[in-house]
Amino acid sequence: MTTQVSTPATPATPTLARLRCGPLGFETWRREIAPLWHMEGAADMIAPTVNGHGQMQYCGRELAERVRVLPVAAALDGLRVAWTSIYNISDQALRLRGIYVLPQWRSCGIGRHLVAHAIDQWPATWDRVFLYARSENVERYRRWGFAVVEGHGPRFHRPGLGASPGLIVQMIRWRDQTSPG
Amino acid sequence: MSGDFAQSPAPGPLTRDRHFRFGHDREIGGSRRSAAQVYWTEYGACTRAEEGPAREFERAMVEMAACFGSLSIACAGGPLAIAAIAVAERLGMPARVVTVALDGVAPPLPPTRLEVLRIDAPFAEFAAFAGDFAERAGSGCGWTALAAFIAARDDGPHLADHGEITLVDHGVDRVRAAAPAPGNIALADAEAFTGLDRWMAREGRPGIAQPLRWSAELVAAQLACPPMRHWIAAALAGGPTRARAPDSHSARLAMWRQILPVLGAAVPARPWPDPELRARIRLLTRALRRRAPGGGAVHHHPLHRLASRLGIDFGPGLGEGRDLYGTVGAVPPDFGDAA
Repeated sequence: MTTQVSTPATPATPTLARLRCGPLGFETWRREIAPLWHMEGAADMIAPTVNGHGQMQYCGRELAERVRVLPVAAALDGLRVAWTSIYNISDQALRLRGIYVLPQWRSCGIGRHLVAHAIDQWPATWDRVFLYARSENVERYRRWGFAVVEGHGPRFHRPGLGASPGLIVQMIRWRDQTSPG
Repeated sequence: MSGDFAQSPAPGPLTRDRHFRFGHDREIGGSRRSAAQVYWTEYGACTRAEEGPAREFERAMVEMAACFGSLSIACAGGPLAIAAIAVAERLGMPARVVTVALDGVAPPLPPTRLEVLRIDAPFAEFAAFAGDFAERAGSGCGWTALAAFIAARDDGPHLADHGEITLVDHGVDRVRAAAPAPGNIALADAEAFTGLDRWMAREGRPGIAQPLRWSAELVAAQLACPPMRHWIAAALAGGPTRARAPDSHSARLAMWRQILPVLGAAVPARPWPDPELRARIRLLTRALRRRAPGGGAVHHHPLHRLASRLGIDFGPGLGEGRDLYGTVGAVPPDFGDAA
């Protein structure tokens, strides 16, 4: 983690009112989100997109032509505290990849707010959003409007270099439902 | 799939009409420049109905030989080489066989009237070559390195014993040997395999690195053959055996067992490839992966999209891909302000 990202001063106003979400350059994004995947020092190995066990419907040069990757971050008083990215896996579906909130700012609604912001950047043509949730986060994402994809169960996942393996499950949210924000 | 890419001239895969292509991000045919680049492959459309894998393989052999006037058929112990030897012999093609014995262990070679060039080398010499190959070609695959090793020691037009067509079922969790999701099938193209294409192009080495991708019809014939259809049906139907067959490896071997006699070859009594060679190459591959960072990428081509491109009718329903994850239109979508 860079020294740029540190704990802001004690909140004087409600946190979400001070939160600013916006795009981030990919190089910066992957360097700062690397801890999520235990890839500090190896951020240059993080690719902009992943296939996600057969989610990606584009192929060949479409991967360069058709896929738009939007790395985003949330900042409190100018200091970044949360990151995610979102990209299209087809002409109708989006993939949220990596939702990382600094430990000291978790359970404040920041992640949920950032996810809503990321999804809202896309035209309504993209009517569904997928993510892979670690087992321990499934209930959290349910509260955000996601549901486990029908017929899908937990599968093996090793999050990064030298990290302990765990289980993940695929979840979906249709955008005509109430906003998670 | 056109676009505004600068068309790279010659290097890269040599297939009929250059229908098979690979690249990274917006670049065609070259080498990986960063570990985060996205690797991709593409296949051309069929220009006629495929006529089955045996007939299409024979056609491909004739066309490939016509490109070079003769062929050096590399034999690394795979069924491709056995089939190629049989076809070349039966059709009287100008061809010879090149094989390699590592520490005296040679892949099984069928009896043949063709000239055979046997290269004897210590395994250590091959391993050293493979390390250099991994770094230069961006391929951490020991089998691909072996194909390059054979090509490097023969100056004839190289026909690699390499690059089988493989389908995978994304619904299977290989680590847990379970099937946590419905069938979702894709053609898996490992970046490591096209390391041979990159190496041959750089070395100016004549030949064909991907004989089984020579034509779109040959690719279609392999995908649509009865064993592959059977594997696809089993993956989509679910059932207790599905998790034990996460890819089409067994179907691929079954296809070869069916077509080798048609091509005039006997099915070898020993497994493909030789178990001892397989074990040594597996160990070497583990070491090579560290020397080709990012080169372990795999491009997955959703089967329903590839089938559409190749004109293969697999019947209704090909897994959850299209229905769940959405479609890809003929023209790019309107991104609005996104990205």
